[in-house]
Amino acid sequence: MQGVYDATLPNGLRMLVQEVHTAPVATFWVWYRVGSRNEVAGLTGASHWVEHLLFKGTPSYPAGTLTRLIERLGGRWNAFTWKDYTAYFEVLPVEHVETAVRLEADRMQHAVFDPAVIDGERTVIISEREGAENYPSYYLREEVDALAFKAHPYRQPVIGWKDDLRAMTRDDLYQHYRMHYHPGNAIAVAVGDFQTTEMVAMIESAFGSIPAGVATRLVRTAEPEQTGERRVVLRRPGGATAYLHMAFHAPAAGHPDLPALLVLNGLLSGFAGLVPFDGGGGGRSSRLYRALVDRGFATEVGSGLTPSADPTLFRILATARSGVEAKAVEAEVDAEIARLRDDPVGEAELAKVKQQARAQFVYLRDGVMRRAMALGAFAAVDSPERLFALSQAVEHVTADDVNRVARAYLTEKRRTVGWFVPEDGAPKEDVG
Amino acid sequence: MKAPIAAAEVARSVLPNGLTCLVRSVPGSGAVALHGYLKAGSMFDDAHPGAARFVGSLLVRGTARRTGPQIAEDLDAMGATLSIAPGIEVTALSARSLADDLPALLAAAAEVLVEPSFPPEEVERTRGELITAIRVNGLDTRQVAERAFRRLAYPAGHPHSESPDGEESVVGTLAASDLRAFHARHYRPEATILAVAGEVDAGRAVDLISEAFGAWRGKGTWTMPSFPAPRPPEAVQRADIAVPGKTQSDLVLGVPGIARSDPDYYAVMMANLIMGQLGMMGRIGQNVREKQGLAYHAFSDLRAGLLDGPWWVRAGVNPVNVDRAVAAILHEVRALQIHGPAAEELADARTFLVGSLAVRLETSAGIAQTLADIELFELGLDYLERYPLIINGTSRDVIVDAARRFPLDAYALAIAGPERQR
Repeated sequence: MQGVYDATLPNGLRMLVQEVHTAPVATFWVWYRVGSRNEVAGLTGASHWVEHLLFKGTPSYPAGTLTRLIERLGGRWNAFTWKDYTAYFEVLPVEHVETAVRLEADRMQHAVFDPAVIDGERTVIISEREGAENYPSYYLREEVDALAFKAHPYRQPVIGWKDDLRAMTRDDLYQHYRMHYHPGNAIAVAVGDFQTTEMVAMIESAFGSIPAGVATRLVRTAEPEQTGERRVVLRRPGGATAYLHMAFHAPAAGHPDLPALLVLNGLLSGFAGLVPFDGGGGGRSSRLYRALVDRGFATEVGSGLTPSADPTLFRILATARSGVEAKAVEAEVDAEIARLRDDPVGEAELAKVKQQARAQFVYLRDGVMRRAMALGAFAAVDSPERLFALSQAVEHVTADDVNRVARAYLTEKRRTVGWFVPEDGAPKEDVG
Repeated sequence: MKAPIAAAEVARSVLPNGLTCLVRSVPGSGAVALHGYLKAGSMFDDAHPGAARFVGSLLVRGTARRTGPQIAEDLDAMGATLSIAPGIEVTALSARSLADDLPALLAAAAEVLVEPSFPPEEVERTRGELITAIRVNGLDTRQVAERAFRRLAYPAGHPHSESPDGEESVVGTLAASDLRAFHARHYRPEATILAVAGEVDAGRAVDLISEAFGAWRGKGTWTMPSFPAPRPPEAVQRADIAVPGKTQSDLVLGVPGIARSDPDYYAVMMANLIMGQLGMMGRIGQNVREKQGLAYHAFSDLRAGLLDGPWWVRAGVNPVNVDRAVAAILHEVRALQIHGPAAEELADARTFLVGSLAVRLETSAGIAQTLADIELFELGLDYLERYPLIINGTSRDVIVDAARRFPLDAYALAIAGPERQR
């Protein structure tokens, strides 16, 4: 697969290794197939909390030493939790990458779940949540997710409900860790200025002796088909303008309709590229920009979906221009959706989106981080080959395909519409 | 240790009109990244707070040659991106395209910087967007706290006393003629730096830049104007702003810092690194987040630019914990001032700074930005080669002295969040 070495250790750890020799750096990631999708009622936020706890030390690397060690070697590190996965990464000068490999192998098994530390982290995570709560768009997204999904755990916020965070125990978290953090549930990704054989040997040496672990509990609930529009209007102080958040049920990462949906999204707001959370796309000639921003309804507009393990949501988001009502913004979005359903897509426009897609795929090659992120994200929800297959498939999407998927997925019956409507209230200042 | 980029590996050229360009070849990437600075930020707003941002926002919305929609169509058709970020000191340009499209990308960059046309409908549309942003920021606790901090810490008329957003009342009434005048006065090749990195031959890129920008008429030497210097703070200044509908309080605690050109820059930068960045956000993060669990984000930052930007600590905490967080921050700054960094902390800071150079340069976009920064602050093309010596030569004593420049009894503190009982 396109210069990517792909093999699985006997204990189930999948390794994806790619050489890139433009700079003397390397990045190493471990992706665990666990996220808020795997959480049950009362224990939401567990995956994200476990992510925090993986920075609290192991017997070999006590708290604080991991981050300082990576930085001492000139590296950067971070981690994030999403609905489908939790990912940890380091990027450092290539001569030090082995340290990252050993650290990840160590904390896959040996993270210390100290009750006092866990209790101390409770307020940090609640603070993280409360920081998000300061933004009306966060509340709106939370409402829409919970409404669009009535049964599937994608309805739950990744950060977790606040009461669950208050009640979470050390044992809850430790069990979550033991259940999901093992080689069979993980993918190691390495991209950088090394020799493949040496990197594979490093990974084998560090991870090879970790026991396979039991298979994780499957997510059994499939979201039942939505057969009628759902709507929510959020009214609260703290926002200066209206927001629209519209979500349509869309297929999972492996579905054959995904390439056409990605092209449809490209028409709406520019082809976004396949690195999740990368913020690509956003061309000012795109349909939503022209219809909403150029015509004075919104100041910002975006759309897209994150390729997911289970059927997900295709979202359209807009920030209303001050004074414009969410209803008016929605009417313009509806008109654009109707065009996608009913009007043929011109050749030039289709060619534009495909060229954007090609360019995004080239930009993926800049440095090591983007490639590693795209490979890992696709491996976690589907397969790494899907990354390349999608780029190929996008080339073959026809104008008819776009109309077809618009009719199949962007329907009133399958959508959830959220409005944030600002309520009065201005800041009061006390200066002393 | 070999420097990631040696001086000889960067092509630098100053065009006859004064524009400075830098090019670094990165074979095999298939793409090019541009990063440019115009020294034309809100520091020139003068009587029109918001003008620089207004002008910057309009550049891509119409030029003498193409309408905004046409420019957008042409860029999107190439899969290229071009964006403008107007700030306080500089207005930044970032752009990206496939390697073959570099000529068109440069032409577009030149066109929007040199020949914007400020069409009336676009002016009105942008006006509404900017006002919306001002109102949204007016209910964003981080923005509100920052704004209040700036007004406390800096004298009126100092560019860092205000956010580049400006004032709604002013942005609401600026005329296209005001914007044209700002552009004509401040957008000049002598005040412009452009860096290119990617799959490009350096000599050819310089030729292309020359072709695209050569006709831009210079006005002679550009000099940085002077601004009223911040007074040394005399007492703690505090502002508490209740913002409706919020759960968390955001605080900004700090002072005017130093300019990048200050001879003490490296000492202060390293003191700041230890204070509030290294590890899980330095000593401040260790106390406020790790030890006391008061905040998810708690860190310090030194904004040393052409001017003395802020040196501040920022945190987001539950309202009931504001006083405890402030006390913890002051405690950590004091401890660093009294005892200085531990030997291991200092060693870590040095190896992090030197070792992470390669990582900071792993993408073409990162390289382009680094080169533009090196030029903006006149660090010299051999900066990256000299960097390890500079860092390793910054002694513990000067770092402690630098830490002591943060006045514990005369800082500005702004807090924005829910109404608090006091």
